[in-house]
Amino acid sequence: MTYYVTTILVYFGVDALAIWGLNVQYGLCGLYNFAFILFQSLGAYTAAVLTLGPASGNGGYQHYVLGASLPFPLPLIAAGLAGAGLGIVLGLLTRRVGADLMAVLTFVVSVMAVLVVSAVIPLFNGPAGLSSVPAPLQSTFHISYSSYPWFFVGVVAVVCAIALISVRALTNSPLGRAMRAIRENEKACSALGKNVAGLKLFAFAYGGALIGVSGALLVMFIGAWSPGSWEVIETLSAFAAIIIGGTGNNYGVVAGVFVTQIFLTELTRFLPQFSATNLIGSMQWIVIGVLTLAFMWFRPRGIFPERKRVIELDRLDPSESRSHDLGSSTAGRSQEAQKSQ
Amino acid sequence: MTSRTFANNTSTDSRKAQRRLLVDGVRRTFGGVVAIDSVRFEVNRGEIVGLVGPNGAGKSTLMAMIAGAIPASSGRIVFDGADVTRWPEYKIARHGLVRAHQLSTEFRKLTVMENLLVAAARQRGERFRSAVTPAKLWRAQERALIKEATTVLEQFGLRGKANDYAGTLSGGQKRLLELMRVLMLEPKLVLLDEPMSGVNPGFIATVEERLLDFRARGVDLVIAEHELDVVERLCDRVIVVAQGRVLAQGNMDELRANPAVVEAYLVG
Amino acid sequence: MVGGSGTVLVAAIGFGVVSAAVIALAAIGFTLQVGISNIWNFAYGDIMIACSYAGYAANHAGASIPLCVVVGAVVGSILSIATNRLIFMRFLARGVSSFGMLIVSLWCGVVLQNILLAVFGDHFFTYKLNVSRPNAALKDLGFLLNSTQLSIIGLAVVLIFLLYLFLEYTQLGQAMRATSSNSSLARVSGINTARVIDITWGISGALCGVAGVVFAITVGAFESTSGEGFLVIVFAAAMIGGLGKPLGAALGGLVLGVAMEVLAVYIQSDLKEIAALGILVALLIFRPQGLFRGVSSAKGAAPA
Repeated sequence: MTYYVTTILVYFGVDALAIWGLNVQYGLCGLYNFAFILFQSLGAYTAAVLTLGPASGNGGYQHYVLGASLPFPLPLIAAGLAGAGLGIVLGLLTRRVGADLMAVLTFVVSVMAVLVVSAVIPLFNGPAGLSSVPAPLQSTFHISYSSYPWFFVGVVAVVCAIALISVRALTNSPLGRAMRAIRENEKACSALGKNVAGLKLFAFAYGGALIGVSGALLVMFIGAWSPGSWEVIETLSAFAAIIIGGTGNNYGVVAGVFVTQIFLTELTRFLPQFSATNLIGSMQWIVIGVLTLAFMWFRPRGIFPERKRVIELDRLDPSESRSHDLGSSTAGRSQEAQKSQ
Repeated sequence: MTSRTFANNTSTDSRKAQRRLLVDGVRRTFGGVVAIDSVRFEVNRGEIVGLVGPNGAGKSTLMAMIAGAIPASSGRIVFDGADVTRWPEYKIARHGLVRAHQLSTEFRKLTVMENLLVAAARQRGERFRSAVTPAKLWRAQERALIKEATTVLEQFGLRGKANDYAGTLSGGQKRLLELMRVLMLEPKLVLLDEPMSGVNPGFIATVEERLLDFRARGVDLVIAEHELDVVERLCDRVIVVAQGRVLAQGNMDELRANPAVVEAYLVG
Repeated sequence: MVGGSGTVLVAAIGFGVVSAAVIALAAIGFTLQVGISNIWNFAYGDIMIACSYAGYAANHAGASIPLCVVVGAVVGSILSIATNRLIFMRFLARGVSSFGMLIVSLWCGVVLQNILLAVFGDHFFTYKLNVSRPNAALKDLGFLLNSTQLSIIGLAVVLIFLLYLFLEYTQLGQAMRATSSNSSLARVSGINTARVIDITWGISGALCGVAGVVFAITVGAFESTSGEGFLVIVFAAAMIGGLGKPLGAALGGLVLGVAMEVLAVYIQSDLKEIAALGILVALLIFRPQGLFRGVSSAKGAAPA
């Protein structure tokens, strides 16, 4: 029973982390990143090959690059950097390709990456994937197998807390505001002096780092990672969570993750078994699909829409206003004009 | 001879010092079509210059080129002594040369106040490190900007709309929003592309007053406009553009007497 | 197989033409939908597979292969018109962005896929086919194609030619082209655009269905997710020819089909799909309007 609870908690935390990353890219900045799962996978593989020992060890049944046996949290940091790196690549591509084509381009790149990793076995052990990835800090702190899951929940919680503080700081700052402006109208942003390309690059990299770290945590928990885990459907799922939960709202997208990843999955667990074992799995996807379309139709802003930033206007103190001549007749006329509008 | 050259040099220098914008031999061709053909004009400090001409004359294209949104095929654009011909649009805007668009470009899902705040330049809070550093670093500047924006809102009579989504504004109000945003940038010269287009006739006077406020703040204007009476009221000098080239310059009376100008307008 | 000899190469070209026939048929349907509705229908691959299943049901009920093809065409037609009318058109009328439509069509595909999975199960399916030997005459030239494969090539050629005649010379075909390039202008000139749109989705859906059946036959075994991988190939072919241009899609299918089979002679077989996707990525970055310069409606850029 505890294993069930800890697994759900870990998955929830990891999903939240990843969705915050995607939310910065898509929800805040309006970037169409359809390679979401590729970021998570890159983070997972990076962490795996840095945590594992050399490929020749253990009888050499797995083939992969590196194998550096680095201690925690170095592989985690490396995964973040890898995600940021991929984000920078996409950020540079979007200068060339333009916003709309980015969606399809990232989609195709994501599909292609699965094929490449499956075909080029020496890279990440092909379709069989990597396994026996050691759990971080277990041997260092001599944690027992029974209590380790809770320890890992703690690790995930700490990472999530740090991430949430940073994401909130970003979202509520003028930097977040500039990103939202890009989302609304990037040409107007350029005309107002914003370095749109640079801001997009940062959004891609920052979000990418978060998603990469989520992948690292996931592979450390599961201990294995293979191409089957990262098909395009996972990216679609992530966008479903954002759309249902509330695009742009950091708490909304977590709610979206809860609904699509946790609630629906666990709901189907308690339903009576149908004759075909795969029916439950299919039902899940059908429900999420219908739910997404329903939200896009009835409530596109999601369960928790992006909240309006209301700013308290100070009472204007005449001595503090900028010094220039304002005829009183001007003020009067403009107020009249406002009424007539 | 020496004294005369010396006198000429000082007058050239002082003229240069007075000059805000120089558009020199600017050309734009694409696909074999010459859209803009060696346009040359200047704007001096304290001037409001009008840009008129029949439809399709190239006024919008010319303005977009000066602002850096469209590249020039050849020619030079010099702003405040700097050659900005190859600069990207955002860099030119940061330097003080800003274009206000013809069509509404408000940030719809941001409030009016946020629209204004976004425009402000050199915000400490917009640095990338805001993702990891505490808000304390930019709060003070933000408070000052909010005060400034509130003043602007008061001046334009839209204080009550400060916390409404910009998408809910009326057409005329969106036009004012465009001007307010430009003002927050603290520009030195503003290119206005058809500021009266789509504005209620009863509202034109309001917009005109706001444009005069710009001059009161020491901002120079280049106004491309169809409404010739607006041009006549506001502009010190008018440039007529037709078929991508400068036809004539002067004040409205001179231009009205110019047969080439009259013909260009009649022929369209 | 490394360093193929001449005969292997010729045989590969032969297989490439078969593959091209399937891709071309599918790509034309896809590109017609882009042209008429400005939509990138990423549920197309899954609709195709639904038709593969329909043909399979007919096949195992004893129908001849041509009848299975017809069944596939009919099912494809109905499914496509229904999807467009019930879902795509409504969301488009709501003002959903092109990115939103991508999500809509992708989820429609996922839902359809999972319905098929739930109904048929997750194993592979194969049509019951008569085993036929490679055609003797062609074997001398080096091609190893049996009568089924030759029929598929023939079918594709005939259908493409008929479509060309239809689009070029019939009033309805011209109305389709007009609506594709400028729907408001077409409506104003008196064309019943609603009917033209339905008919276009019907025709493209039929092509999708035919492609689904011949795909199942040529590929041997298929299952509910087979449409995913094929969709990107179809999309690549349509992009090569320029989105919205049916003849371009046919050419794109030919180029891609032959190129992939020829490439498989020299490199690892599973890399040929990667090569095709690489071409697609290059196109998206450097030449989204397609390789062929044409006068007809160019929908190379993303839909508005």
